[in-house]
Amino acid sequence: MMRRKVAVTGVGVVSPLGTDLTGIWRRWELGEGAVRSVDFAEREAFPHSRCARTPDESWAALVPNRRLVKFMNREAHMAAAAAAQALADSGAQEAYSPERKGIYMGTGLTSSEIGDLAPVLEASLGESGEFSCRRLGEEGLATCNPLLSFKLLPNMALCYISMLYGIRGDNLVFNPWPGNAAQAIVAGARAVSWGEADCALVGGCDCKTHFIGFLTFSQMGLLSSAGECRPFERGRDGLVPGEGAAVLVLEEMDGARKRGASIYAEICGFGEETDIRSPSLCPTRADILRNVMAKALPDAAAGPDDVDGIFCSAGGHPEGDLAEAEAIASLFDPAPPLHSLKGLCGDMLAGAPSFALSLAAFALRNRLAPPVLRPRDPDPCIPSAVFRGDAIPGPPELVLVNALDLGQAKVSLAVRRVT
Amino acid sequence: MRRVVVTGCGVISAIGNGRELFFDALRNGVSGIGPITHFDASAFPVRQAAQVKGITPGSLTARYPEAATITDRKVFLALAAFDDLLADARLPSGSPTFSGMGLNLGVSLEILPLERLSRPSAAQPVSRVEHLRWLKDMGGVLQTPLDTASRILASHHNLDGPGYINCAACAASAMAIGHSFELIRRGLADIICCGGYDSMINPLGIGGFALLGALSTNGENDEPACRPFDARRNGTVIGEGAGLIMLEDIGHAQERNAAILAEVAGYGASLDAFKPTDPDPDGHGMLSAMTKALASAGIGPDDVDYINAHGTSTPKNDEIETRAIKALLGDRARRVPVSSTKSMVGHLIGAAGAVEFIACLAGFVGGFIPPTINYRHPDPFCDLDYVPNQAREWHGEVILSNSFGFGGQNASLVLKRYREGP
Repeated sequence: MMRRKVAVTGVGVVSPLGTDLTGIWRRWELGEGAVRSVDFAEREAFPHSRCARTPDESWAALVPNRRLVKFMNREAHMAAAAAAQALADSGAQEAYSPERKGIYMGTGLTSSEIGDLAPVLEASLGESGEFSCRRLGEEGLATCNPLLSFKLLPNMALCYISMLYGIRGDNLVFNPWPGNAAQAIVAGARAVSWGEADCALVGGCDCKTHFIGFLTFSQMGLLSSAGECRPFERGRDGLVPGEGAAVLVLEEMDGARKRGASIYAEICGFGEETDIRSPSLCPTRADILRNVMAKALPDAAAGPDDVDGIFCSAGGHPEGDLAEAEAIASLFDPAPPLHSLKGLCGDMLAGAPSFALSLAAFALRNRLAPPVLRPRDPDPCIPSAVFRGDAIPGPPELVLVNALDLGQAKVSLAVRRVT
Repeated sequence: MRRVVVTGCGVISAIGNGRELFFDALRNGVSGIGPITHFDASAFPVRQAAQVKGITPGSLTARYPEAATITDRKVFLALAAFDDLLADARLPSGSPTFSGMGLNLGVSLEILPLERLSRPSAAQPVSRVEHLRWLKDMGGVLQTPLDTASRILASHHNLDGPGYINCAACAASAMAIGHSFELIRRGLADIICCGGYDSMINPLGIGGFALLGALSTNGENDEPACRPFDARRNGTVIGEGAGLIMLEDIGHAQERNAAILAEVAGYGASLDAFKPTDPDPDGHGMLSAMTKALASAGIGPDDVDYINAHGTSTPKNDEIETRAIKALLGDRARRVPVSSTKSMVGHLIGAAGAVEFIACLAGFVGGFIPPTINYRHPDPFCDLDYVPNQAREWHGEVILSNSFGFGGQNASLVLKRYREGP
């Protein structure tokens, strides 16, 4: 149940396609992907090292506080850079007191670059190569960066944003999957809607483009063996690691209007479900995913026919993509155009839902029709009705942003153009 | 808005597993701190912790076969606490429990198990890449994602309501409880199992906290290690455990004739926005969380009858928290008892707020408030009534429970004695 309306008034992203939304949009239209073989420590241990990194490190300079940056891991640094852009974009920083601004973030699986841990480990191995707690105590700890804890703690991205921008209000931080990160967006929107905060920074960040990321996802059986992210395609075989962060500024609609903010869109509905039936991390139950999307619509006073596009969460998972497609086919007739950036920028994981929401907000404000996802080699098991041939005439009014892929938390956000 | 009540709790701690044993230990001022036995800590700068006794994977994998491959100890602490919660709330141990029941758990972080990174073969030295390739192929998953316990519990017990994993460091489980309170209060859920679980008693956990200088090195001399508010405190002691609370809409609880232990009346969260390494010395963030919690409960500072402090036994926290409490309570500050149960159970990090919330229930259920043990030397900067060394009979109405996280995330919860009526 929504009370106050929630406006998106600022967007900031750090992504494999860059940091500038206009540029990202152009690359999306041109189909210019960012997935390539990259060089990371011990990459030889894997069949490939294909992943999507940011094109350069220029985003790092968006966080001028060098002393604080030393504490950050890469994803937290990206989140801080995204927050800097979002706040500057919104002009909301001065409009609200520190106590009335909140932060709601999603972060990913704890990751550390092997470089941080390798020296500790090496120094802790006994003569026979066995790990020894005694050696760790005697030798290993002394080689450990004492700030390592700050890089491992998954709440710190939120805390750095509060320190950098003097935000002191309500807050929540969730972990570890995209759905959990999408819950942070919902929590921030609810806080604004309920009046717990007048302004909320919401978003997520993640980085798995390194050894530990590849190790984790290959152990989980989620890594694409070919290093290709192919949502809904035949022969898709898993995700391609990506990295990035996206932060959005949400404000109470009347307050935003009163101060003359440029409003991207309204977050007008949420669907949430806990999928306790799918046996693995990827969803297998289309009925549950259908409910998630269906639940987002009544809040928005809309029906399936009013939806002009869906930012899918399909990340190239054999089961998960199929379940999302079946859910769409069962709720919509005909299906609205589907959109996805994962083929171009890999899976930004906990950063993915807020990144997709950023692009949706950008499209709604600028009256742009997002590129339609057309699998080159569609999976014959997927109902072909979901791949509508044509885009809708004219720009979208209402879109859904899905986070239905990994983990039990499933979320769909309804976002509407503001006139 | 709807009223939210507590209808059960499950607790696993170094001083007792299960509400009854836990309350007895709190009443008797028992210390759960001793030498670390979970791993060989003999060469570590810190060799003591508050370890949980009597919970082994074997005792739980019989009921939870899906946990058979789990190596992360904290997951088992969560499973044990959930079973204890079901018993305490007099719910059947089989499933299903309630349709729409949520699960909202706080936990701090994954720890890479260094001990599993040892070389595959002692006899054959291998290159780093070969070693890592072996790791990749060894099966299982090196990391245990923070949703692991939740996934097992939700699937096993059909908890299909709202599910959240809160990772706000030392404030995680207090925030999970506060967030659940808000969801029930505003009608988004009727019943949520919330709280947290954690164990940082592992090589990288103890090592990491020791490197930060957060841990007391006392304990092997005559000086007790964890001594919140004492002038000679010099750091905290890591504990482990789990605390789970059944939070329920009052109507839902009454309909099923549940025993009501207390009411949760308010919640406040804030951010220090100060430094990664230190709390804000002015205590603004702490004060803001407490003030917001009281406002959320519709009461004022004069109504507070006891404060369960964050009280970590670090020099800075205890002094700043004292200052914030004085700013909140004004002239009444010295007349309101304040204690830290960390003196007995250690610092449970992600589970701290939940276990301390349960300690507060002793006030309403057991008629006493737990002491701050190991308190010997008054600190001129910490000059409140810390309930030193002896539990105290108590018949008050309102308790404030504080949890302040690493990084500056603060949470404060208001508990009230349950009274029938509007």
